[in-house]
Amino acid sequence: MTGTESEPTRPAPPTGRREAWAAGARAAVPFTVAIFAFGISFGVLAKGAGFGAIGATSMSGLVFVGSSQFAAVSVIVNGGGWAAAAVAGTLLNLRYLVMGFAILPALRGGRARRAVESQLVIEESWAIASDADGRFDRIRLLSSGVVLWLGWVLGTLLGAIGPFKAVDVLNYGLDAVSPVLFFLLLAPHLGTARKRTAAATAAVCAAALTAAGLPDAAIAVACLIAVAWTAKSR
Amino acid sequence: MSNDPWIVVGALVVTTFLIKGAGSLVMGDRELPGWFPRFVEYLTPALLAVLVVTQLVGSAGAHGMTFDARLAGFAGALVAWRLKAPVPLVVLVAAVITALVRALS
Repeated sequence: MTGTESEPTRPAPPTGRREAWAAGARAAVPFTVAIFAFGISFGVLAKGAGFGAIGATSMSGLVFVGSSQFAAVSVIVNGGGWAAAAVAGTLLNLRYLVMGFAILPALRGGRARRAVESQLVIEESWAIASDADGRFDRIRLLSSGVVLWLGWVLGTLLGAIGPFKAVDVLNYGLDAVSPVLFFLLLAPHLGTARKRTAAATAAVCAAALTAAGLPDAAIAVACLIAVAWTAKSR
Repeated sequence: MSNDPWIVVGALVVTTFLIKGAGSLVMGDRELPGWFPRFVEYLTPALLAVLVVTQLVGSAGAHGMTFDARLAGFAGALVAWRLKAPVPLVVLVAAVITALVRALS
């Protein structure tokens, strides 16, 4: 999508840039394996809910948020209407308000282009693009985002047209991969005592909210913690 | 089947675009306030910690915390990480231990 930047007529990009493309894509690969498997599961679910292969695949390509799509389709599966399905999916997207603002300083170009590039933000690409100093690398966002997007879209397509009933990611331990990868992405952000206390407080709150059946509220609490820690650091 | 699936796809595509693009659409060419980078510095570890916990003990189908084989896989991966194993190996350790514990229990 930003292919013009690597045209041979231009001066060779600085190695840092090419390395950033490769680093983002490489970091996305293990996530993509898990996302591909979840994509197959989503394709199977969407097919059962009356979404054709084209409908399911274009949903994955244009929405690109697994949890939101699962929520919307589950509402349909359970007999809900389209409005309830769209509201459920939208609510699960609200966390991208925060991530979208956070990554904004790294993006380039006009308003429309930045809005389009923001569509590649999901937790994985956002975390891969983040640097320990609170900045984000646009190239790592785009390269990891494209790799993850391909895995999600191709997985959905395979699930929707394939002979699968459901793919049990549990059999291969793939569901343990995500928390480990997020931990590996978290580790470089624990450089100061204040960042460590912010992370620890957020982890405790997330455990409590998960126990209470409200895991989605934990993202909002993480925001509040970040606000509180920012205010204290003045 | 009705047209409902396509209406859902269309509605969700529009709301997702607006939410993910909100930063750029709202701010335009204005600068974010000066405290914003510091906020993001704390937001990143806090958000990633939330994701570790919810992915580790959360479960899509169930309410409350789920303690299962993922914890064993996670613990094994932590050991591999402390031993400075490369990332693909750390991930493999997590998946293999988790699958083994499931197969054995």
